[in-house]
Amino acid sequence: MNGIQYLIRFLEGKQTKVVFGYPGSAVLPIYEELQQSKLIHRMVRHEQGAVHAAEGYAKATGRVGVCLATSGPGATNLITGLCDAMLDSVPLLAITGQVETTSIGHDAFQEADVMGMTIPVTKHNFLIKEADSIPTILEEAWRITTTGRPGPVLVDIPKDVMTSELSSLQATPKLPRLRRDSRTFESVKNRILNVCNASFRPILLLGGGVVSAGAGEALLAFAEKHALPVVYTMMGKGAIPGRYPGNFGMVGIHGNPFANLAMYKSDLVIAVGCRFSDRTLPRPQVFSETRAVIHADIDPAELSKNVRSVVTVVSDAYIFAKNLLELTFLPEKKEAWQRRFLNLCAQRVKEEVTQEVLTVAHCMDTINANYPGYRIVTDVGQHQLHAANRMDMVLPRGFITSGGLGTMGFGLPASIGASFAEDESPVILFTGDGSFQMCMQELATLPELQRPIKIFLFDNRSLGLVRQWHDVLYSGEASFCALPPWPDFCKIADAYGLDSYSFDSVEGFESGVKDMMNSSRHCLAVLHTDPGEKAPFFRERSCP
Amino acid sequence: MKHTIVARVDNKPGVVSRISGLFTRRGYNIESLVTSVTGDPGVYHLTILVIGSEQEVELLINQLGRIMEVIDVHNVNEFAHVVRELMLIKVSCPVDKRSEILSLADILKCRVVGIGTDSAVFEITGDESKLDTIIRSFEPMGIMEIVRSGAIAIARD
Repeated sequence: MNGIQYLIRFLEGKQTKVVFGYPGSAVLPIYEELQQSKLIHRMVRHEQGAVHAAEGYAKATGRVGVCLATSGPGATNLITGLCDAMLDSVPLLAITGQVETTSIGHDAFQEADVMGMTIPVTKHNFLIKEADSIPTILEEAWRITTTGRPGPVLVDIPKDVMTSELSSLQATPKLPRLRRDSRTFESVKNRILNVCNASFRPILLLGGGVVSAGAGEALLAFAEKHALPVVYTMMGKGAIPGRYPGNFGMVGIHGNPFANLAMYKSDLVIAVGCRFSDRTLPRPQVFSETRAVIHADIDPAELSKNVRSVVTVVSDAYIFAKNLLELTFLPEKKEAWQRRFLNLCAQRVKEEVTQEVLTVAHCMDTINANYPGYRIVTDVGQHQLHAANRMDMVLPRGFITSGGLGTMGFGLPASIGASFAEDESPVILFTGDGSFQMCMQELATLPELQRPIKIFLFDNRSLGLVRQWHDVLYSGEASFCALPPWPDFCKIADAYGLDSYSFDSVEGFESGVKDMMNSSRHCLAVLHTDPGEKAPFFRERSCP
Repeated sequence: MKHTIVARVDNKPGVVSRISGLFTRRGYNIESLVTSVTGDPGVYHLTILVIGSEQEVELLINQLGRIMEVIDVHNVNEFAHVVRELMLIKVSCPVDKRSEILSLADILKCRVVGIGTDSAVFEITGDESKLDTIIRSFEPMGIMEIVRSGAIAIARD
């Protein structure tokens, strides 16, 4: 058995369903062997598409996404997606071809120092120098990407190593080191109890770690037990179901006023699996000076990185939630806070959306009300923030977005990956005219998919969020946010064989969207929305 | 404040690059970084001197802990520890001043490791302040060149 035969057998053994990739000289041996494999290979049209598709699959399922690229430019095209996966803690295995071992360092054709350039954007990476280490390295790579805080792992394989015969199939992987950390739940249990009992206005803040650990139900039970308000970061969206009345929604500068009110009025934040990014908390210093923070995360490096906490716990979110559930806090001090929030819950209504011109908010509300059960994938920009605020989550892992890196172009390939999820949920993609143009070549990948993707492209003829920030930070005309000529996206959809729809009025949208959603084909709707519409933008002083 | 970080890491290719790259990426300046072998051929010992606040260095150590090859990493400022550095110093040493300089070297406990026609090279081991004192003592004689190894450290208990 040679290196590649082993690689393919390895991926099959790990129940890998699909590999997203693009062929090239240094990965020819892999493609030769793939023909005989039962692995599904989906050929993308740009390696960035492959890595985002693998991310989309991984985010939708919690399983490892796998992508494949050739040496040199193929590998460098993965870098944006690796960085994206690193910031959003996505389990992902990237396999890259490399020039032959004897050519490494000679500036050979399509040679690049992939190891060197992916160190900062991967959890770990490997260059395999001899075929016999393939079994061990693949097993280690798999364990690293899935153990602890997930993250992308890249394995670079020279072409000659791929085709060398293995003298042994024995894998002797070292387990990723689990560092003993003294900050266990047990060690701080009494402090947690004391801090919680002393607090008048506690709140639960959930991040992406809750989603990846599947800790939502357990934390919901904890919140219900103590009638706690719950808020989440963008990556924590969908962690707990929307039905809990104290679920106030997303916090942060693009969050909603009620969630932010709950957070800023609190005197105790129990934060689970979040890293207090600057989009969640623009002024972390002030924040921790005025309230107590209990911070639990699986990655010790996140604790006290941005926010000073009174109690820190190194723990998987699920185990932390289970431990929390066993504690019972004294309720009396918190009654006024709970009453106040039940009142607020009752008052909470989505803001009125004007019906005269077509807006992103109105279109999303219509889709949200009429088409539940879809997995929502977004690109990056105003539409993403509207979606994060307006779409109710029914499915686990139902919201797929590029949170940490904010990668425009993520959406289309990620929706392709998400369509492979084992729960067979249908996929909606929300994208914008700016984001869509960053990876729109992946329209060519759609016809090979089994399940149709419904694409809603909000075309406001500008880079809406950039323009909005420009208005906030500077005055006057935003530069380079609207660059004519803006293409006719329906013609692009036609060119790739999709059904296309164009909506510029509320009536047109409401009647046309039914056709589109009932269709069994891939559809792209271009929604000509109001260029003046703003995405949610929260400032502390605008607390209701 | 200057902190001495000691790490034990797997002897794998690229490990120093991963560690030094992390300093750049997270915005720290390395004062010195010394890699050395240990009794175990699979393990390297790293001593890193870095300037920063206690909190900054705590974050840095957390980040270092995320590197797969890092076995353990500590800020030895928190423990009783020993730090040593090796210095070679070349001093201007014309024949008429030779005995004067050699007796100074003797007082300072510097070992003579080379004598040229116009210069002498001394070897000194010690902590940072001792080496600084020696540099100051030789300054009036005319220092031609200094090479320092960077510090290595070990916890005492």
